[in-house]
Amino acid sequence: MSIALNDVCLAYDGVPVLDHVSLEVAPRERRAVMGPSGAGKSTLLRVLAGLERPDQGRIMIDGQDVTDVPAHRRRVGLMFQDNALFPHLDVRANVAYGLRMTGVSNPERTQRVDDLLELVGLGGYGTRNVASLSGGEAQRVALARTLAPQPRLILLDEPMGAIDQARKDDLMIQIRTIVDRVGTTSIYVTHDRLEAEAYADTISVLVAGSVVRTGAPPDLWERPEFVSVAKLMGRANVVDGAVVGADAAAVVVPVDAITIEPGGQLSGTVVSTSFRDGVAELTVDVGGTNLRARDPGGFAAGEVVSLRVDRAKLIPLAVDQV
Amino acid sequence: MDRDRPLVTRPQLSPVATAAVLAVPILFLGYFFAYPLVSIVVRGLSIDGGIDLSVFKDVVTDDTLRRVATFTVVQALISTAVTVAIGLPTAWVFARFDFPGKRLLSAATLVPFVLPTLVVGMVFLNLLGPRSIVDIDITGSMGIIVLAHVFYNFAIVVRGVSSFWARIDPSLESAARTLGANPTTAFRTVTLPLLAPAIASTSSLVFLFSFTSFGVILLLGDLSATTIEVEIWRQATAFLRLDVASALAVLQLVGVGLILVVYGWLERTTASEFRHHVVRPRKPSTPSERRWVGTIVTAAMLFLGIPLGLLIARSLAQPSGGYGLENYANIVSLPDRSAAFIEPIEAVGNSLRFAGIAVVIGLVVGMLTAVVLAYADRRVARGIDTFVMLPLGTSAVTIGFGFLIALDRPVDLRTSVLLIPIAHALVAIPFVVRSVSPTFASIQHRLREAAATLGANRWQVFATVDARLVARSMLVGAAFAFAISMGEFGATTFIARPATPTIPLAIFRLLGRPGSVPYGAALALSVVLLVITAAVIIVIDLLRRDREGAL
Repeated sequence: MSIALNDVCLAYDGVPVLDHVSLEVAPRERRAVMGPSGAGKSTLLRVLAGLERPDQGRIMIDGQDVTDVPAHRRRVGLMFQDNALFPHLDVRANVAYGLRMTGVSNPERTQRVDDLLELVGLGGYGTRNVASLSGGEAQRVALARTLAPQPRLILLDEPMGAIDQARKDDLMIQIRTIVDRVGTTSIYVTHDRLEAEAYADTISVLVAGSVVRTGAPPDLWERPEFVSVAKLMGRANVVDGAVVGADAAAVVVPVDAITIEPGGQLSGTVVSTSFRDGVAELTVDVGGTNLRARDPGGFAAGEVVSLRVDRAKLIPLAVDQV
Repeated sequence: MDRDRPLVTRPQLSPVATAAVLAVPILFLGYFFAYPLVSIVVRGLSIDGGIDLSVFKDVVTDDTLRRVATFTVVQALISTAVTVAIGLPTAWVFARFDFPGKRLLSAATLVPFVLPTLVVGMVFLNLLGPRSIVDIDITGSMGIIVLAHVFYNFAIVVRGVSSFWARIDPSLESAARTLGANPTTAFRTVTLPLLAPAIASTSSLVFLFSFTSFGVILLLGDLSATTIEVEIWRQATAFLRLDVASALAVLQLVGVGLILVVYGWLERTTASEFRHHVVRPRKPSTPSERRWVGTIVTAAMLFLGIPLGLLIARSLAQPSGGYGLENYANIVSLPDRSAAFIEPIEAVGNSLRFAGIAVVIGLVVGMLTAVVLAYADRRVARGIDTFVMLPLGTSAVTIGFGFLIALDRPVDLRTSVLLIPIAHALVAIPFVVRSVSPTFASIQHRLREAAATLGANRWQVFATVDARLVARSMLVGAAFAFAISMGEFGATTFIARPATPTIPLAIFRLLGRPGSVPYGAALALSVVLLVITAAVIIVIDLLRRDREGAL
């Protein structure tokens, strides 16, 4: 199903949380919405799920206006942060809940629940108490429960929030595979660039209640366009244009645009040397701004060095607030 | 020292020290609580030293007494159901929302609960009694009794359920909604089952208080609309049938015991069911939320405020016409009082004196007990906990009646004026212990470790960490004891001498006299008691700002 948000606004107590948000997601697409905390990501999902009504704007699913359709009739599945499994029900009853609500008869329900538990790799877990599940198991039960009533759209709210770093990659691939297998359109919300890149082909960046940029991860990396996007994409050296003598208000100075050699345009003091992702780097203080550069070797903190910047490689940015 | 044993230990009392600390509470509760209770049971089960159940047979087969027992249970069931039904929406608002005046309303809900039951009776006597301002007299009906009980117990449901409700993640209900449940179904299939333990445990408390209701029934009931509690009193004081009163008291004790067993079991379930984080209440954000919260808050304020406001207003209506302070002047000097009657103002003095002594006794016994609960061997602590809590489940009338029939040996204490504060302290001790011992238990062991790393030895740790943190909850316990003593009525009716009445006794006696002057003075005295107890509860609530939801 295709999803469209047109110019959606929502304010709490006069403070805008969603500020003219427009978003389009193609049928069967896996989309990530990435933003810093407080950007309105969870609210966006609640509006899509029908748990909040926007102050203005429309929400369309497959061309149908669902803005006024309440959550229980909207058929949009939401996987909650911390999963929100019902503690008074066992695994089977949790997964069966949505089927019971939509009136699926008992023999079929049992079959569907068994199939779903099999799908998420938890066959035989039906009678388990949800409190006894590990973080990853609870999450897969939550996914099965969300999928059970066959929603038209699946929303995932920071699903890796409670998962150990070491288990994240595996679980992410599992979720991706399962969502692809059922073929449902999905929106994955996270503050983490690596998760967004691993899950989706297209990322929308939400900053202060607005979608500032939508694109494929390489596109956002090469052309962030905004300071906020550059920082969220994890780019190093997002600095004032003036620091490197550029016209733009702000720029990304790619690490490989800087060479440390005599006769460069800038001079600075080495602050520290470090080793990051297999590369030796120097952090250099240039007029009060720290720049990261490849470490050609042989420098120590406190030394004054000269930097040459390849202006052609600078990426100009518009300044927005982050 | 064991290698596995932590170097900074939770202070622990040796068996000898435990026995020494326990001596006072055990002797006190043994002589003033257990011994009178046993005396009642013995008196009820035997005649002239032999076991004889004939009184029981008489009691159980007597039509009037059977009607009383039935009415007692039925009114308690209805009161409980109505209190829960009315309390739930307010509990929801308290659990989920933040709104202006929330703290004030939260304290206000507690006022009826700490109000002496006799004053609660006065509130509704004034509203719907023979001298009703709206000219409707429904005393002696199920309706007015249930109304008074709901008013009195409202806070138990609101506080008990809302503190539990706040720990239920609102995402659960949202999840149900996205899975196809409409709002009603989501509440019924998710929130209600999760709330069930809290509803059940608060219900059993409401049932208990309604089951043993005394002051309310005495003012609002009649000979058939009455409780076992009142019947015990009537049999013992009006008909001097001590055997029948004893048998009734034993039957009531069995009933109360059953309720307490259920309550204890439900409370353990509540505590262990699940531990979600408390979700911070938020401002109502949508128009429909604002409408609901506004309606419920207004309704709760009116329900609590109108009866209390009318009591105060009525106390200002002068017997000689117009509005003024004549009723209050009459407290100080009552015109044409009979020779046997003292000035009501003396009752205020008596009450304050008794309350002062009750606070001291309650604190000494309560603190010693709390120390044992916190620092003695766990098994000893559990046994003591149960023993000390028993007076809470024993009705006031039973305590007073027990004093009457038991405390003539070894020396006849029944004429001692000290018995009144002692009885009050008995009722208050469970509250003191319940206020203080959770604080002892909640002291984070890391704080003791921190103190130790800063150079404190184990007794310095106790003095600078444990004792300091407990001081505030001790004040709360003292305030509870004071408020309880000021309002205690059921036990006091048995043991007060005619010359030393307390405020509630003076109110009751004034109501028994004809004319509008004594009635006005009773109203004024009720307001005095209301103001004192309301002030105390607000102090308690301020002292406990950090313990949201505790009763």
